[in-house]
Amino acid sequence: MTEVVRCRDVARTYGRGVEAVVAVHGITCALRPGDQVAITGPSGSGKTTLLHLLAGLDRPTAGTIGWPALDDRPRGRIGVIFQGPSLLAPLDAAENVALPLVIAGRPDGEARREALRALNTVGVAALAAKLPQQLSGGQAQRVAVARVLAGSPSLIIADEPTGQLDSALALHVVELLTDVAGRLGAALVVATHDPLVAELLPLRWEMRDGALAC
Amino acid sequence: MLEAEELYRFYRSGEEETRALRGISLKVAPGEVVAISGPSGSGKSTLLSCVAGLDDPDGGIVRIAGQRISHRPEADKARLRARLVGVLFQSGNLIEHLTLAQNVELAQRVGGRRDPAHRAELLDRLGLSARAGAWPSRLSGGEAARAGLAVALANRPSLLVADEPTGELDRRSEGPVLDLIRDQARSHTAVVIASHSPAVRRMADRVVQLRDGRVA
Amino acid sequence: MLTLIWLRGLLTRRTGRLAAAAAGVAMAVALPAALGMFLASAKATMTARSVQRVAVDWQVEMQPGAATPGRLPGVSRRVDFAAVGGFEARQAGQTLTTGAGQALGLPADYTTTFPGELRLLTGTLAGPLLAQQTAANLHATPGSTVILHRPGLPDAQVRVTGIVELPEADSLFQKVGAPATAQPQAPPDNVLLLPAADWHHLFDTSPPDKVRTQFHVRLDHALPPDPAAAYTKVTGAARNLEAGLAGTGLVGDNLGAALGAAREDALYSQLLFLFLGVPGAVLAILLTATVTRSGAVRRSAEQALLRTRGASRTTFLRLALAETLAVGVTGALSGLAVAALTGWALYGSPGFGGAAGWAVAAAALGLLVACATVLPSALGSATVTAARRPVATGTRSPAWLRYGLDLWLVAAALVVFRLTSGNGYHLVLVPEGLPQISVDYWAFTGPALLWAGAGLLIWRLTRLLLGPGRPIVTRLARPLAAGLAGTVTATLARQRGPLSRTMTLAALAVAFAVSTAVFDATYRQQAQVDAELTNGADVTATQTTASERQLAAVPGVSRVEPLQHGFAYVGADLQDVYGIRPSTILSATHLQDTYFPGGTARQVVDRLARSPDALLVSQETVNDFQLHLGDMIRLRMQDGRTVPFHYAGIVTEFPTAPRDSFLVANASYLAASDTTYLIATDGTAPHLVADRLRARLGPGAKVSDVETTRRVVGSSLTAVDLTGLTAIELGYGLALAAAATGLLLILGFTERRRTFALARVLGARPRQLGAFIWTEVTLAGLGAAVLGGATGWALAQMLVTVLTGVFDPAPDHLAVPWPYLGAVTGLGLTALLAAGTVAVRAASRPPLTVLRDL
Repeated sequence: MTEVVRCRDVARTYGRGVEAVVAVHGITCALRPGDQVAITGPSGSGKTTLLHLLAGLDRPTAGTIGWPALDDRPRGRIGVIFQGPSLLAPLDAAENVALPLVIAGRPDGEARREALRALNTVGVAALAAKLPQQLSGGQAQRVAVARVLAGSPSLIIADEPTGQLDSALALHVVELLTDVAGRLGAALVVATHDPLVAELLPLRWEMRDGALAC
Repeated sequence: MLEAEELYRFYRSGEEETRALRGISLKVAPGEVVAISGPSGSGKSTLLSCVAGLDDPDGGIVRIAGQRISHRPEADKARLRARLVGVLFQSGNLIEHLTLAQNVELAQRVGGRRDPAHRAELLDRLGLSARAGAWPSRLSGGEAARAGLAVALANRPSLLVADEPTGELDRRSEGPVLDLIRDQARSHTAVVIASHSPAVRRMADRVVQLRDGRVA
Repeated sequence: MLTLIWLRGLLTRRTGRLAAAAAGVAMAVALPAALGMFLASAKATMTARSVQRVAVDWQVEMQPGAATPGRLPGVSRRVDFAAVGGFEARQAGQTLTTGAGQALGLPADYTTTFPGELRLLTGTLAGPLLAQQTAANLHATPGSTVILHRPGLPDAQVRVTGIVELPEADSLFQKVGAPATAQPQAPPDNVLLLPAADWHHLFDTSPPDKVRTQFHVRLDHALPPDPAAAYTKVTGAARNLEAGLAGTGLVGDNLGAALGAAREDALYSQLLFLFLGVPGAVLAILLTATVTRSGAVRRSAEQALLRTRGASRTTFLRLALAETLAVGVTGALSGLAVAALTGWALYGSPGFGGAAGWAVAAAALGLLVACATVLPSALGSATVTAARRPVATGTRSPAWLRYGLDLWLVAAALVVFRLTSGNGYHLVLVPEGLPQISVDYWAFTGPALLWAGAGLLIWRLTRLLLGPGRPIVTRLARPLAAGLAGTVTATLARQRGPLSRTMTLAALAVAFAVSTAVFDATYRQQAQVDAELTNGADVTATQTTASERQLAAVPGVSRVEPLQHGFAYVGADLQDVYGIRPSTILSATHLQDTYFPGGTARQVVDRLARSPDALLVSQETVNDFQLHLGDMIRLRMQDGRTVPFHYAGIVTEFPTAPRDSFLVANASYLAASDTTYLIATDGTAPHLVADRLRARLGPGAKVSDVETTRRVVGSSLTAVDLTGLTAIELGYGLALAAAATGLLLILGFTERRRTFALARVLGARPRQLGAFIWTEVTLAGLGAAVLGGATGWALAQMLVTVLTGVFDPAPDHLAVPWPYLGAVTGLGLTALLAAGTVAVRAASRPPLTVLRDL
């Protein structure tokens, strides 16, 4: 099966000279469709940097990273959920969910139907017309999951999606994510510091000092 | 020390009335750490706002170090807060246009003090000496949480109130922050922490479980 | 110290926003300060013009038999007047006589001391001089002998050495000490000027009631530049002198009278120009407020934090004051610097001169603006809970919108406008013949209400456009945003509040630029028309025997139009009558439609062309004689003929005609003797052509040009050169329009950096982000241009109508300064493009950098 993402000896350094900070280094890994991974590790260990590299939001300073299943064009084809609020403030929930589809060039009406279906799937159809500022933290994250679902990506990346949630809610959101990933046959990467959350995922990678310790 | 008696707090939005607190009493002795836990919407944040003197309960009374802080003019409450209370939020504890050290100094000056020695000691204890001149937007999550604690402790408060202080931290960063809070309690500060983190519950002297605005 | 830490942080980390607020304050300061400089300079010009225009500052008339006054201020010369029964001259065996006149005795250096009093036309100033009219009556030339009929004494004769013109005859022969309400006395028709010794020789033995003595005084002209102050000083000195003379002499205060008129004009122009400038300053203030407000969310979070930490009200006040002062002082100082630079560029003097008071007031205004805009938001909410509540971005309409305040204001503006202009009621009354203006301030209410109403109405319209009007916007956005149009419009609709504020301010800035530009251009156009009306054409020649063809041959002349002039009796009233050539008159001089009530200039002239005996008369004559079109009128001409005419229309103004009643007829039918030539130039400066004509036609002809006339006619108000004001107001109009569109858009985009970054993470390409940005830019630009242009035009229309009295004659159309409007459009487009480009570039930054910084 074609790998969704493949890293070979990837490193990312911030700054230059004596001030340079090595965020991650020597990362070699690969994910296939259907893989579900929890990345754990202390803060500052490079989890977020690795996630950004995997999502194609950042470029490595050394090594290579590729997305064979995506013909190496990751932009817009990877579902991303951030630690903080990841919804666009001026758009309501349905418009937020429809946005990746509209950006990809789908007509408004079709995108909206898809969005409502996705909201329904994650159980927040009632929130379709709400603005992000009217949503609670848990609701916002569920809408973000719906947005990932609507985009039907083959790779989903979530950075501490449950940091600001109750444990019960956190588990629910991550269950939703694994469910969605399973439905889409996509690879899922979740960075978390919550062991209960990590246990929900079949694979677990640990980051330490910028390197994968597996 | 903190004494809160029979606190009630209601919110009204349109037709709907939310009863956030329904008769909660809480006493925390100097040096004691109390963790408040409960599902979201159980009234944790409202309770913290009331005991920190940020909000007035609709019924009941709050005393800190023997001084009533509830139901007083805002100016009096502000003075008491500056002298007696340190508050630590999950995020946004720092003024963005001031450096870390300036943030701590600002808190001291708001409380009417100049205590550079204490400031330096705080930063040192929290492992932030090297970052004293950094802008808040350049701090990592753990650093930001510790910096928030430094600001909260700037005036040697009698009561430290923390709302999910480690919510954005992993366990390894959480540990040092909690140790520092524990240390502070030993120097005769009463500590109230709202958190769903197991580590906080383990560290606390006492855990108060809230459900629907009442102690469960 | 606390304050210092806070301020230092703000200055290093919030530089852009503070600078933008300070720039807004600076604009609010610079405009009034620069206007003040303009007014001070205009007032100084008015004073200088008044002084310049007066030939003799004071005429001190001594009571008969009074002793010579001891000490007079400045430079004084004795002038003696004697009544003469008549003059007589014999030319080639023919005896020519005149009626009564005056003989004046002047000291030898009189003409050098008071150069404006007489102008030598021919001969030399060394001996007896005849006034031009008298010389014409007697057919006298230098060298002629003139006989004087002295009352109570035998005739005497003098040999004339020169012919002079007396430009200031009215004041020279005024009745000193006459009450202000008295009719001005006509100067004598015949005047002979004698060297003092000759006069004494001829008239010392005259009966005392036939002679009088005046002392002509030229004062020290180091006067205060403000006409009001100069007036007080001069009239005070005159009263002082009269008191000193203890009844033996009276002062004819020509300078005081001129300064008095200038004082009124100065007051009026101050009001007018301030009124034109105030909207600009208000806009700058609103701009500052919007800039200050744009950081509200973060500011509110900071305030909540400070309150949590126990900051007291005093602490807040101190921090707020520090920020306010930083913005206010920086803004005020830069504003003054900009004003000083403007003044330096326009007037060549870097200081504030007479406008120091203005500068101080403007700076105080700047601090006030800073206090009013920065202080409230910096002070924040009273309690922690209030401060922690999220900033309301509610879509609920403000109260004024629900109660339709904008519509009420516009309606009130129209009502006041009708009341003040509908029934011939004029803001400014120009009493006939007196270059003085009285002002009714009430009519300024109309335009003021319209400003306020239009501003709010624009706001309402933009809100409507982004609310119920969303489908329209979506359609507009389609070409720019393609598939994203719906999403883009949804974003814009949710940003309705700030976006409609931006559009409103931009539209008002455009309205300010347009209305000011049109008003200023119309004002200048009418000043030109007024001068042309007085002078008749670019250059006018009278009392010449030269033919039309000879005149046309002078270099620089493009057209020559003869205009006959005579007198005719209408009842007992002697009126001027003008004979025109209807086929050519319109191409030689500018006739406005407003001169001919009941038709256009072309129609009325055509009427004359069709019927040879047609006659145009004044409104007053129509009323007096109950005339109807086609009525026959018999005119008794000055030479005794009686000529029948048919009444063909009303004329209110005509080139070279007096302000009161006069008549216009066909030249071929009128057959009057005097011909005035209206001369159009081919683009050569009229005064040059006039000089050439004078050289060609000799001293007998009178030649005047429009440039000189413009400086002389009308009140000193119209004499003020508006170039400075126009430059100031139009410059600020440009700056405001650019700032309102560019700055506010950029601020809006800054607030949405997070949105753009997130959209990038979701896969949006820079081009797609461009769709968001360019749609908004286009919408703001179009809204500002359309709504602002319409408002500006309406305001200009109203201003011109309400201020009709300033324009004399009233304009028949607005002058539109296309080059300036083009510049406004160009700069507006540049600002929009710059804002869009900056925003697109910012949005194209790697999204992670943006999200990390937020």
